[in-house]
Amino acid sequence: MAGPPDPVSNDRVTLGSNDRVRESVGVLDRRMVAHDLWPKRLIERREGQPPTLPARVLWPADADAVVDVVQRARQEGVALVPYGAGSGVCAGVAPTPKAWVLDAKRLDGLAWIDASRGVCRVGAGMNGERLERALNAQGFSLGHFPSSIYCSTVGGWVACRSAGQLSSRYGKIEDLVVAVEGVDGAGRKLRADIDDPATGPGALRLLVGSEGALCVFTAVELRVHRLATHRWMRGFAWRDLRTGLDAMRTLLQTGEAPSVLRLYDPLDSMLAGQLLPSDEPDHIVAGGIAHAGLEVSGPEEEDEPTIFDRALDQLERVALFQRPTAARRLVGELLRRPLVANSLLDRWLGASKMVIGLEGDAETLGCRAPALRGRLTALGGSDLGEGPGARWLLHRHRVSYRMSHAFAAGGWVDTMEVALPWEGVEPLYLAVRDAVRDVAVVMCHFSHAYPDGCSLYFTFAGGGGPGTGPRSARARYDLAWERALSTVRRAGAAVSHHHGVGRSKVRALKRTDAELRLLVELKRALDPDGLLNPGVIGLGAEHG
Amino acid sequence: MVEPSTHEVTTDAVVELLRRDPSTVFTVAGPGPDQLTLKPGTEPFSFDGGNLLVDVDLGLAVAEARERAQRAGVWLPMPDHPGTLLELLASAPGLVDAFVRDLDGLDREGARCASPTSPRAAVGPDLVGGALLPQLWMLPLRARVRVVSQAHARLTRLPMASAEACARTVVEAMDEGRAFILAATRGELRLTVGTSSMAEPPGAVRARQPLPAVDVTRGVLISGLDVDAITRRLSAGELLMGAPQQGRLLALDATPPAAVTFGPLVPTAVGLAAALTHDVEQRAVAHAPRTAGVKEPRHA
Repeated sequence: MAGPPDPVSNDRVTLGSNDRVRESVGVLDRRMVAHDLWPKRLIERREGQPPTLPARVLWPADADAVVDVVQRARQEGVALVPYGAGSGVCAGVAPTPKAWVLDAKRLDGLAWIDASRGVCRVGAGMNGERLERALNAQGFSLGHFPSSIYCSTVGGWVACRSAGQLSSRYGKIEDLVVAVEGVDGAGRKLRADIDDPATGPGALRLLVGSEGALCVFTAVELRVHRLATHRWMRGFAWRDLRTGLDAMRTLLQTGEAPSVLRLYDPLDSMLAGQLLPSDEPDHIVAGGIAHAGLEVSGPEEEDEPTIFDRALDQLERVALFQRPTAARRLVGELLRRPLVANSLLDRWLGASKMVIGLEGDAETLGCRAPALRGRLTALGGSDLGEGPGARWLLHRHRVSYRMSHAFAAGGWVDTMEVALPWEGVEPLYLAVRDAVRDVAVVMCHFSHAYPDGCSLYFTFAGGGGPGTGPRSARARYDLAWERALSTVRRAGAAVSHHHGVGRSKVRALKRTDAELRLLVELKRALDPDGLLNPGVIGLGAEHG
Repeated sequence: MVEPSTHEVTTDAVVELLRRDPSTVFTVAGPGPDQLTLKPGTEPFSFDGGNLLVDVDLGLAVAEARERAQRAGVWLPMPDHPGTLLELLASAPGLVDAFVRDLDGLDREGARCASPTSPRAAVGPDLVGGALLPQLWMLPLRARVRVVSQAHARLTRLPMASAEACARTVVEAMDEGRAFILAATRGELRLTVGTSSMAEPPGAVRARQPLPAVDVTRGVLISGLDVDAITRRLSAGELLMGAPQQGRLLALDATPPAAVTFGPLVPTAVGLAAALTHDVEQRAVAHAPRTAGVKEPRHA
């Protein structure tokens, strides 16, 4: 006798006879796309607040099916929210109860690699890790490794102007895109090419980073690189942050383009450990960083010590704590008293750690590596050997997956990534720490570096009770962000380097009237009814 | 024949012109009526040594801008051009894509718009794109251009036996991604590299300028690194100019540029939508490889 019917499959309806658009009104399907990973939503979920579910979810199989979905949404007068893998952290996905969510995952597949041009074409719904593995199998790499590579899509990257951990070498996603295809809000297919004389590179610049407000991406054409054959990784300690930042700037302004270049603030350096000098020789390892990264650092590997474990390790060393429940309670208490935690950390800490990595052939690295090591030492760096770099390579994709422990423990964690010219980097770091120090524990690393500046990647960790009162987690979360973004605005920094604006940072955007006019006309031209993801990046339905 | 009218105005005063003539479609570069010729305003050039940027008035003549940069001890990555920086950038917008960090300008109503003054940003559509269209949405007036410090760079010139040999070396250099500026003609390749540990290739000699003395009037970006296609361009006498660190390669030549205009916003937006949505499938096919799947790697 057959068991009870699956409630999800009962609600899933296939339109038409050729399965071009699958559709569901099932509760589970709608819940899976109800929001992205904006931490405030995670706090709400933890406290039992149910998500706002969209009216339905649709999975179009190809660009023609996307056209059908958009045109149907226009006829029905409903908003349409594009959805990749939902790993955004800025409330870019926030459908209303009447909205439809267009899940792009069936727009999948690596269509072709043109090795003679060094370009590939990929469906916008393709998972990042799967794309990279497919390219690796042919001897190529995209060189794009966001922390979310296992749970993000190419279309999502392009929509938000993502950056990967090797951006100092390979650039951000906008540096890799040579063409996009999509469907606009009027249900028209569109294509923008970087070399199109009819639109110039300008059209591509206007579409990339549009966060689902102008079109639904269906396919992307990207530059690819040959896999490097070897790598060299190293760590250096700096007596203070300024010296480390100066070294980063000097390297980039004198033509060194390392694949990896990351500097950690004293707290982040302390938690990562490994600050002991080393005089071990250079170790040129077979396999480039791009290829090795996925092989060794998947999220499914055995448990990596969490930030709490590492904090306890350090506490054990300095305070001779055993590791009982009391010690864990202490960490929780510190999160609830961030001013105490930040003040203690300021007294104890000093050195900053840098991780640097090069890729290339063995012969070239054999020349570059010792020369680079000599330069960094001459600039004041203390050589830590290959350990820090090897450790980073091993664990670099796991960090984000450990944030759930903080939420499970009653706290919250979020990140803020901003960018500005070099002279403003250290002052902004100090200003944000100062602004937020009584609301959240703050740490930061500096990466995505360029000759003309770099990105600061802050991590905020805090606590708070349930509900919405002034001492609640939600209130403290909002307060941390309000102060941090105000500080960023005053410094003239970009409020996002690669996570995008979504809805959570709209109020921090500084747009002149002219800029808003341009955006509104762009929106009207491509989404006349204002149905595409209304509200994202500050473009509501009224702007259609 | 009716001579095109010319509006000459400094970048400090252009806002008045735009507000006085809100419906006029100005021609910014190339042939057309109502030619808008910018002249530099006050403070046309300054150098930010901390970030290796020059802040430059786009009404400045290209030759003068290059000379000022050289006096400041930096190399400005702009090829020879008989006119202003605005004319050059409007006719070769890929130079903006490759070498310009941010722009200030005006919209059609004379109101200010600007792109973020940060090395990179993710704050929605990049409004610099509006200054890179054949029908401008934004009239750029000032730019922050990435430059190279003469004190920390080496200029290398490599004679090339053939256009194909040069093309292969161009592809290698772009792939390697460390040079600041790449410039190639049929017979030579010039690289501006930092004083890091990058070894000079055999046969290289020192160059005095990062770019050969070749006048250009227009340019297009090249979307891939196809040796055959690059060879054809070099053989045709084009100047290839690249920003390997940004992954951008342009082909420049001295043929008359197409018109670049600046007019009212709404028809411009409608025109952009039309350009994006026409012949999508044909344009996709034009950029696809001739054979499906993976072709033989260009380097075995």
